Amino acid sequence: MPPRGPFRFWILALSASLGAALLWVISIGEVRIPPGDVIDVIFGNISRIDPRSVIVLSIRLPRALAASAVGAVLAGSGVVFQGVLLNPLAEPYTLGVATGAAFGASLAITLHLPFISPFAFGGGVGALGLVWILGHGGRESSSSTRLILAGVIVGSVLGAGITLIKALAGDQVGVIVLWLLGSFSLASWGDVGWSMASALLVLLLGLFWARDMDVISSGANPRSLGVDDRKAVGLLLFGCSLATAIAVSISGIIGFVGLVVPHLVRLVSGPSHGRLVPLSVLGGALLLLLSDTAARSFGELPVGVITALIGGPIFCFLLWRGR
Amino acid sequence: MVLLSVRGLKVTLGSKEVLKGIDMDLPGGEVVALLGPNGSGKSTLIAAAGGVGRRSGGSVDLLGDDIDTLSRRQVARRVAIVPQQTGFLMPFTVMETVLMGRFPAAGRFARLSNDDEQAAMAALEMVDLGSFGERLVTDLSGGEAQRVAIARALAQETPVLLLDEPVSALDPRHAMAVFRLLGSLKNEGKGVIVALHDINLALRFADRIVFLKEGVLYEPPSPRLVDEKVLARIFDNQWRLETLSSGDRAAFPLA
Repeated sequence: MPPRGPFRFWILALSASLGAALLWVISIGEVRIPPGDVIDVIFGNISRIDPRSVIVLSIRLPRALAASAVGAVLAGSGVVFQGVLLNPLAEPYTLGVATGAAFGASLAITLHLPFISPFAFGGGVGALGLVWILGHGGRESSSSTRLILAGVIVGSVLGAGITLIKALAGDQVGVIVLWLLGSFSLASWGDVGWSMASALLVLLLGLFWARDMDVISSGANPRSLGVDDRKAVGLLLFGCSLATAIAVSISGIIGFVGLVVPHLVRLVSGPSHGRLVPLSVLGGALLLLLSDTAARSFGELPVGVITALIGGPIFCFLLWRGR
Repeated sequence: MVLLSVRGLKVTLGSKEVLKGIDMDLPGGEVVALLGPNGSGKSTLIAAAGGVGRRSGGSVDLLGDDIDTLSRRQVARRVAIVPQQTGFLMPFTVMETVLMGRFPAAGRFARLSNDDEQAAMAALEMVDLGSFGERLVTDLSGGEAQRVAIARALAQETPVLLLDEPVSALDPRHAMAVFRLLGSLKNEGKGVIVALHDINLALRFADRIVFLKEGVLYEPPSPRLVDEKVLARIFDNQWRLETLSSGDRAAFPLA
């Protein structure tokens, strides 16, 4: 396809910004660590028992990497969902993954279970399965409208369930609300591994099926152009929902990234998914990394509040521009 | 050589049997006009014969192979379809859209080559849109969008071309140009089926005229044998057919 806009420029610019932002974000905080020292810590030139090493390697680096990877998952999945569901308002949570995860997490918190993430993941996957079965309704294939509708129904029922749990949770309600708003303050290296793997899954799915998504989103009958749409849509939605369920179980529910980043990136990339997917993955990583840093700087605000505060006005602007 | 062969094709949508066992052969080097009243099953036949629509019974052979044994990509390398509705949703450029016609032949990751770009450009020039490459498909008029869809199908460079009312939004000059184009594709040995409502275009350009009514196909032995009675029986209204001084025939609905 002919390049529209300087794709390479944006890839390089976003990658460089992400790298610089990572260094900067890790260096700031209650204890300032100069970027040079951060690099030395990462390359092992500073002793592992030096306080700077402990702060960087145990706290700030995993947190920054997890936030970036989750941002990449949400934005990349947003592109995929909007592309194959032919709906500009689709986002990674459209098929009920977020409410399912929230339900699982709320349950785990009220029952004082020691592990929240596995419950959140189980809830997300369970809700996805339910939406999938409802959306297909015994047929071989499903229309995007049916899937979206099934997502709305499952989401509403689970939402009511969450409200019920909150009402019965007593003093745990504060913990539930904080979890629902999302945070990276406790990110571990395990979280980094899982979220990075999810981000990689989304990127690979998106790149492998980029042309198929172009054809599907163009409005053509995909089959007449050789696209096995049933297989492509099924794999893409399922893979990205799974990645989102993992992301949500790590960070809680973080809104607007999956909705706003793809729309912003389209302004410079056009609708072609070969460019849209990688740029959105980078853009989402950068946005969530900076949002999390802002959340951290303002005394551990929930990061979901920051993304909503940034994303809301951007979305209004895009809407006003008529995109 | 028979490129497309349809045997006993049945399609049931809901409780309605739309196609009731269609037999049809399309050899290379022919333009077949498919006519019939609204709801007679023309679009359903085009979709089922092209492998994109549902089939409740019967078989479709494409260049000698049962279509069910071919992958979607293989089918799209043998038959291209121009849909009745272009339905362009996303602001792809005209060039990007036409290049999608090259996807079935290209590998999943293979960069589209200069040959692909040239084929797309040639297809655009064939439908008189040579200067439209950078325009957005969402900004086009209905007729321009329809010509982009035709160009996308041409870029597939398939031996079989199925067109579903491809000139419904075109002005008379461009409609004539499209049928002249179909004539030159026929001369290259391709097989073309075109569903349409304009009987005069069919009389003038088609090698064969087949009628579809209530899911059953009727084909007079020769287009010359299409007369007022045949048209009246198919469309349930009165017709007058006149032979013009040029030798062409023209049909006029009277009621």
